[in-house]
Amino acid sequence: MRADLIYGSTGTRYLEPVGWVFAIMTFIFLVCAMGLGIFLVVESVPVLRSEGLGFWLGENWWVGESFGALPMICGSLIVTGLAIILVLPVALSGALFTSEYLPPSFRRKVKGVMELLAGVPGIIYGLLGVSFLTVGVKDALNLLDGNTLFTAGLLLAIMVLPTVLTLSEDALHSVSSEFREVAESLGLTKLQTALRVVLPQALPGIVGAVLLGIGRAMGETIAVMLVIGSLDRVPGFNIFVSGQTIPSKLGREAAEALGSGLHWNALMGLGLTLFIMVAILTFSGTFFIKRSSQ
Amino acid sequence: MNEITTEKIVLAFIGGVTFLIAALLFFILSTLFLKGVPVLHAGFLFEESGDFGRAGGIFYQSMGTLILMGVAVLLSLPVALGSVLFQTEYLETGKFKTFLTQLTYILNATPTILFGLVGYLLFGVYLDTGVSWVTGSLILAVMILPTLQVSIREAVEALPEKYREAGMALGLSRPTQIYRIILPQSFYGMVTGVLLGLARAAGETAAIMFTATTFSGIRLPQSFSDPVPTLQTHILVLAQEAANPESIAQAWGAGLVLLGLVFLLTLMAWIFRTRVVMESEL
Amino acid sequence: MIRFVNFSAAFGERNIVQDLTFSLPANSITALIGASGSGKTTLLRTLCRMNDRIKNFRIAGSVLVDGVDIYRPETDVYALRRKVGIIFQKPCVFPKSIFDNVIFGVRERISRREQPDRVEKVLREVFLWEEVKDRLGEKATTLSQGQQQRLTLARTLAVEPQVLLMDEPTSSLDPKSTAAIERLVQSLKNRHTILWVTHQHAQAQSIADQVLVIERGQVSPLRTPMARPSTSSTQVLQNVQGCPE
Repeated sequence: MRADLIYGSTGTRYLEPVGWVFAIMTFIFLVCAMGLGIFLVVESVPVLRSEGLGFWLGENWWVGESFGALPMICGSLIVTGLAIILVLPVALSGALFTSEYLPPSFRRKVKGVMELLAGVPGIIYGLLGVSFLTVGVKDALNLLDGNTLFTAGLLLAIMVLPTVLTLSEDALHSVSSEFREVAESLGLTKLQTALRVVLPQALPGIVGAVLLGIGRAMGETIAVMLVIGSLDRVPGFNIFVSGQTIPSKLGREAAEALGSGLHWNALMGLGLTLFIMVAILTFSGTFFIKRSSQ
Repeated sequence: MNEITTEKIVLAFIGGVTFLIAALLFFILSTLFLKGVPVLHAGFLFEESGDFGRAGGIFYQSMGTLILMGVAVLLSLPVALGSVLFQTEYLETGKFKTFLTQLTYILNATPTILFGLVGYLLFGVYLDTGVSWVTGSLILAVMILPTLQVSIREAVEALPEKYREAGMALGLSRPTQIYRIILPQSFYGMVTGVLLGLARAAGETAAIMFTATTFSGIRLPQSFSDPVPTLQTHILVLAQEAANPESIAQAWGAGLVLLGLVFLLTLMAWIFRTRVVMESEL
Repeated sequence: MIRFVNFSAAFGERNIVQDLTFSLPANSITALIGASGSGKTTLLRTLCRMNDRIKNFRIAGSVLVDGVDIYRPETDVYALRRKVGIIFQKPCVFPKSIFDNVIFGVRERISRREQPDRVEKVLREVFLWEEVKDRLGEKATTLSQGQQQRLTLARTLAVEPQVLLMDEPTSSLDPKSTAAIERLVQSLKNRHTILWVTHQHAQAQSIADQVLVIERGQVSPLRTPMARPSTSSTQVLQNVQGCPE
């Protein structure tokens, strides 16, 4: 073998004027995206310096005195977890039925409606929540106030249902029909085929769909803000009381603190916390998908 | 026999759940329709709102929403197009390219309220645009950037390799190649991206409610530092007066208009997306 | 016109050709034959630097076109590709009109008034003018495969290249279209240097002025078929001698 292959021919390396324009656009994109993360960190520093770890562990959020984010962190986790527990069995059943049992023409219609509904703005769900869900929850459970963590979780479940359903269905449907034929030729029933052959193959895609749903639920501001009751306290195990999530807190107080002071830094700290929570979720999901596809 | 019984029970269960989902979603849509339609009188779209939103129409709110989403897309499109073409046509496969792709996905997964927070600081404070429609448009422009990028990239990557090769073989320079082959082929992708971006911007409330909008007192912005009323914030404010039937009724009307706008944009995007598929199968 | 000097090419660790030195005479047809995977297409694409986009492609030595090394850093690849045209195995026409397809490579370089003359000239050169002159505005995709391949040849000729590289241009065509292309290339050879890649010995010998064989990374002139038996005749020989397979 010859060792002296002189250089890799990688094409022209200089940029034309048009190339420079594209490079500048890429730079703007880079600045905006990176700027988001950098500003969140930099602007959180003052509150982290004054509160220390207490920022995440403190239970009291009294503007001017102390900033403790624990009630909001707990609220976010509870509401998001609740939404996922509620949406998962429903969305998966729907996806399985749509993918494996519905005739193709009908399936396309279901998909169309789901994809359309996935784009319904959060404010519309908020309006529905305020008008029906809070009242419904209050009457059904005989509560004094319908604005609870449970209400928020339920509303989020309804909100992310179309997204989770249609993306899981995509994953199920994209499993090659050869596998189905082989399984059925071996005498498996349609349900066994779906559960033992199709579902495992589609798992990475389904996990991706669910993660997207969780991410959306965790970051939703408006719909949650309107039905959660906005009460900063660590909720304990009772989900039928008012609470607060990070986005709903941000939505309530951003206008007051606008742009300066420790209060603003504290809100930025909350934003950073939310960003980290979503990031952990996304990365662990990507990691899981990589592991299971190996 | 036992196997078949289980099969039937499970099938009945998931079929029932699917039916319930359909019923729920039908309920949502029909509620919006039933609550919204009675409010829509002839002048609803073209009248000023009055009595703190409890009467009149939503003309200036609609204008505000249209201004914000329109300007956002105008700002976002060149950046999205330029950055995608730089990645697909100029950058070699490598760490930096992967990083840029990752960045798009991270930006897409970021909760929208964070765009409001950081955007207000970056534009409102440092660029000194304050609480105004300019700040709001800039924030929405960054927020919908991934939507546009993904659509354009899909279209560019769907372009069959043979067309690139044919263009290269004829000695077309890279800019000519982009102008003559890549851009025409990715045109429908751009349109899809723009429409989906508009839909996303139209539905966004959290990122603009404290950075760009006002409830009353302003009609159309007279300068760069004026906030605007929008449909989204209009609904938000009215929804919080849940005890007041007139406010809620107006909110349903505005909600139906907003939803109609979002659905219209999404449906148009689908039509163009099918065109992309057809072209690439050529 | 074209000269390889100590030329080697490799994809990563896999060598394609090694230490080649040979040249192609100007204004004649050279056929290059070899089994599939022997590197003939790679060699062909190297001449117009179409391999630049492939990540692990490396070369050593030099390739001279008109006495200039095309892999010098300051080479203008676009000018090079205009000088060295290539026709691919499968005709690839753009989903545009016949006229637009023919003018595609030169639209920026010649004035609008000159364009119809150029189109007519090159379509006549590929004997397509009479068949399409009344429907230049129609989509090129409506043409038959044979017509499309002639159209891509016209499109390349419109750029006025000095060298024409043909990468098995007839392998996806029926016998009639193949014959038409072969005749057509014969008529072009007094103005162009042509390198024709094929895997059919018969075609190579009927059209070319000289035939080169590429095998195990080396290029050598083809001796007469009797002196250097092809694979199939080797097998015949073995069978006659009673060797087991």
